[in-house]
Amino acid sequence: MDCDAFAMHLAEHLDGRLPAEQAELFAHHTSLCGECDEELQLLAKALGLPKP
Amino acid sequence: MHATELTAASLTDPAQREQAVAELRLFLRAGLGRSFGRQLDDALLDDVAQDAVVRVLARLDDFAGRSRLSTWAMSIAVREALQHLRRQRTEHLSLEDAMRAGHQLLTCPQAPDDLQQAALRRHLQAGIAEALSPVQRDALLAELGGLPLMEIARRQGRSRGALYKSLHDARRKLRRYLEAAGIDADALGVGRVSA
Repeated sequence: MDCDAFAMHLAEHLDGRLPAEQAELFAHHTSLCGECDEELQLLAKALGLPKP
Repeated sequence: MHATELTAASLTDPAQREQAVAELRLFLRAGLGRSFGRQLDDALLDDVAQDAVVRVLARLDDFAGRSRLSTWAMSIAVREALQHLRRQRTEHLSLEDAMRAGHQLLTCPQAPDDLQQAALRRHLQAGIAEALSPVQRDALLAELGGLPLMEIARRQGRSRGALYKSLHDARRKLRRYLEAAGIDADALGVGRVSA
């Protein structure tokens, strides 16, 4: 998964609607890309969700 | 209407549109305030929320319904704010200056290093010069020089995904180069990458 695919799946991930296989790829990408991880943390905070 | 009830229909129906857009703007502004705190002052918060609303409305046809509309809209707003802040932070740093800074970091470490570290750095410099394509080399040096990926991609006129893939491939090549020379790539901070 690259940063564009991350952006495409970000909302689904936070709503818990990402299929397991995609969720694994998503988590792998955020562990490698600091900027996407920052985006994920900020979005969760904006939505009042617990820290991912 | 609560933001979680926000629907694409309410944003397009002429009878509901004005109110739905106003509520969307408030919802996005509140979320951005929560996540970015003092990084965005009131005026900037208004501007970024307004820009995000425009972007959400322009991209409404792309919304595939795989998430809540409110989550999708907030993801666009957060990205908008991040882009603004990263651009602002690095507007005085050109791509060329960032590449120079990255190169300097490799050739002139800020802290004195021992003979072993100096040798490792020389291998890393050689790997960057010999194993990477010019596009990969420029992107890696600009990243080392302090430009965020989002900004490098924007200035090079390509998507962040394409840049990420290019850097991913560059690290993999570099890792192979170093391992072939008997160097522990982890010791140099060349991240482990997936196959």
